Amino acid sequence: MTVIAGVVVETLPGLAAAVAKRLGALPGLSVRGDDGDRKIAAVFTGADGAALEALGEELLRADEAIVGVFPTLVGRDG
Amino acid sequence: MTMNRRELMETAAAAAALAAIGKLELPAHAAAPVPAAGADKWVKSVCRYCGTGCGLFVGVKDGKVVAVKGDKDNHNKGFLCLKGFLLPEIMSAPDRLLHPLIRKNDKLVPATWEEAMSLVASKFKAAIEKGGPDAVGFYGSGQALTEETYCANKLFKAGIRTNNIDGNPRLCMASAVGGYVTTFGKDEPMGCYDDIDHADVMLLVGSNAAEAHPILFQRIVRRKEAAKGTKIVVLDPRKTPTARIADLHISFTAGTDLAILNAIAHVLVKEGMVDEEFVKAHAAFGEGADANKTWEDYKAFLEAWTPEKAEEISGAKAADIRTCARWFGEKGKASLTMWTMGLNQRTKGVWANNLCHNLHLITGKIGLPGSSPLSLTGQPNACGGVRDGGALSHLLPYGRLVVNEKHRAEMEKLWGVPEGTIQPKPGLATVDLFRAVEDGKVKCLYIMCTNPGQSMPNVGRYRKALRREGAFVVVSEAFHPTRTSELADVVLPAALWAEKEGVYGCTERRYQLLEQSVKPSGEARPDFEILCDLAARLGHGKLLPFKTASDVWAELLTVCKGTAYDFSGMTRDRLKESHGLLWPLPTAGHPGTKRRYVKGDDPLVPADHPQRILFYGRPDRKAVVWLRPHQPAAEVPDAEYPLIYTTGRVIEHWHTGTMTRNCKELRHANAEAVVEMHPDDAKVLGVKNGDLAKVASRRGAETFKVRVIDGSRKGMVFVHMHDDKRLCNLPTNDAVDPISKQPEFKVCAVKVTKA
Repeated sequence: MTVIAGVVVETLPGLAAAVAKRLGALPGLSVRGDDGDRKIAAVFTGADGAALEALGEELLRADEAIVGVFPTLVGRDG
Repeated sequence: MTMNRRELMETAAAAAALAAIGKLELPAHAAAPVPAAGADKWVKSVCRYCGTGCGLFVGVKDGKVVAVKGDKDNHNKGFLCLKGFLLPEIMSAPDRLLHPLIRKNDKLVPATWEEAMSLVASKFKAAIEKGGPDAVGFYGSGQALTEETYCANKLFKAGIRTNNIDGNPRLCMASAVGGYVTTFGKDEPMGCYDDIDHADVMLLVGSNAAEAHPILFQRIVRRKEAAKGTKIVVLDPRKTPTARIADLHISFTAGTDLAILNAIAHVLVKEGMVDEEFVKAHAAFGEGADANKTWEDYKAFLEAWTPEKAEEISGAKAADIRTCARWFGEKGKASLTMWTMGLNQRTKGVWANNLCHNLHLITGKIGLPGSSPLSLTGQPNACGGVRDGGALSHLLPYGRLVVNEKHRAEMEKLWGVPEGTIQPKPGLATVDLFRAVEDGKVKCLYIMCTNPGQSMPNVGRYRKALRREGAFVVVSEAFHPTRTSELADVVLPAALWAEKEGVYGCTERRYQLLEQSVKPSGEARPDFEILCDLAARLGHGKLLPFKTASDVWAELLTVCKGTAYDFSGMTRDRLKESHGLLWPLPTAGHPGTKRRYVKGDDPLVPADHPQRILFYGRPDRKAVVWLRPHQPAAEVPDAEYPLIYTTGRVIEHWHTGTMTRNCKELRHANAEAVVEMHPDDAKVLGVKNGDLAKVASRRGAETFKVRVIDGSRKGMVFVHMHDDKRLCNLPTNDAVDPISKQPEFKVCAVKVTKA
């Protein structure tokens, strides 16, 4: 089973594009666009809901420019 | 283009995220999740949260709820929002109440069911003996199951003989009810979710569907992407996530949208976008409480409501109002209006609802695919249980009224009680009910499945009332402590969601069965059982002789029969087989009714009716276009309290947060209420992100961290309603709409100071 979730990553003002570049290198996360300011749309793919939660915590811990990680739609495959 | 399931899911997930940030790149496909693995069995149910009513299956393993998956055969097409997806976590939450509690020496201590119920019954009996039936009251919920609410309603109105039974839909949808009843004669929308798939223009008024109704928002976004040229107009003071996808966002000073709605109607009339034939056939006109005006009177009334006048009052741009009207009124286009609390939670909420209906009636854009007014409900069973079931202080089941002698007689016959049993005077609506506790007129209050100690407006006042010396408060609740259970004299552990069986009725007249998936936790019991127990102890056991919730449903099928709500063909077996059924559904074989009042769809409209529509809710078989001028909110800013204060939802949490805070993923996401304000206001106040600010009204104050965002309207501050530590309702206004008795949560005056 795989969890697939739409995720909004919120950054400090004006840093969406820069953060999006960094996120693009992370496994399991596919950046789909940003608002040019502080919000990034991405798709997360992982083993389960716990992995999704762990990703959010890791992003918040590791990247000072990220201020929030908000799933918008969660589904399961498999 | 073909896509496999995985690709479809990824596309849908991307679309949800993109829509949330205001970037639309949706495919014309909808994705359906595949069943999750790991469960021993899957039990059909409905989401516990908002009024969208998403169908789902509960995954059970070893007697525990381990997963949920969306029902792809239901209207939500298998999708769930994050809150729904995380529902399993609420079932075994650490604050689940597993045994009764009784207050002793000012502390709540464990008790047996016998001790607790004996105490409740003795206190209620004593209060009734001393002060009469109106010395007690019941405060219910749009989250309780239909069968539970019906039992409470019958016990109090026909057993105890008081109409002091109300519920939290008074706080969320009462103005929508008032709007439907005054315009169409009967409550509940005539449209349905399918209308979203046909709409060319969608007007969202006071609705942040992206956060409050995410699955419906998905459907809105899908429609916009599938049908190029679809226009979305959002009327909202705040630049919400919903507004970010709008083709036109009309921001305005909170509380002034009646001026805007009248100005839209003004343009529709002036520019010839009305349907004279439809108006002649189907519309009456009224002012005040009577349908005593004419089409000409209405047009004369609208003369003054120019877009320029609306701009002067509301701050919205006259040009934007014209654009909105032209999109809405364009011939051949389907127009759908949706609204929620921004319109309802107002002292002119019923009038505002009337004005939305007006737009559809004068253009004839009603009762056609994609053309309808459609209020979006906040709770999963506000419609089915409390509104339709008649469990408000002025109502009886299925459109009947307490003040109507014939209706009382019908219910007395159906309930098998003597003539004159049901009291002819409406009981106390919510705010008055709590004020009666405050002044000692109501001695005992039974609160079921809701959290008024956090959710009432001006909540500090009513928290004190609930702890008043001499007041006896019973709370039936799945969780403890809540901001209400902490105030109670007795707390009864209620079974939660998948632990019991019953029916939910959502926004679009869709009734759905929640089958029991697991046994209740600890000593918890379904509210249905608790109420039957209480009835027996109060000497009214014959009124509630039911053994199961199915027994209650069988009685409900007789109570609704022959009314405008007739769902008597909706047997338990049909509910079990179906993925939701829309009433009217008066016979066993009827498929249900997508569009009410429409010939060929609604079975209550005769097949030989000469017109496509019949508004049978009113004796004159017409719907009323009301002449409703703009009037200001009950409290507007002044020199002492210069800012407007408003409250609302965020996507991660729901209502008072008793459930969503039990999901670890959500606890860390936006759980703390912050005060959002415009950068200019923050500059004037000398505050920045993260500072603490005190928000004070004439009634109360609370301190919040500051969030400065450009989405806020200058002169207005916003706080979400879900935090149990920082009570957004300490400042809110408990002034009510004179028709619906719904409080004005959405507008009051505050001052904000750096804390």
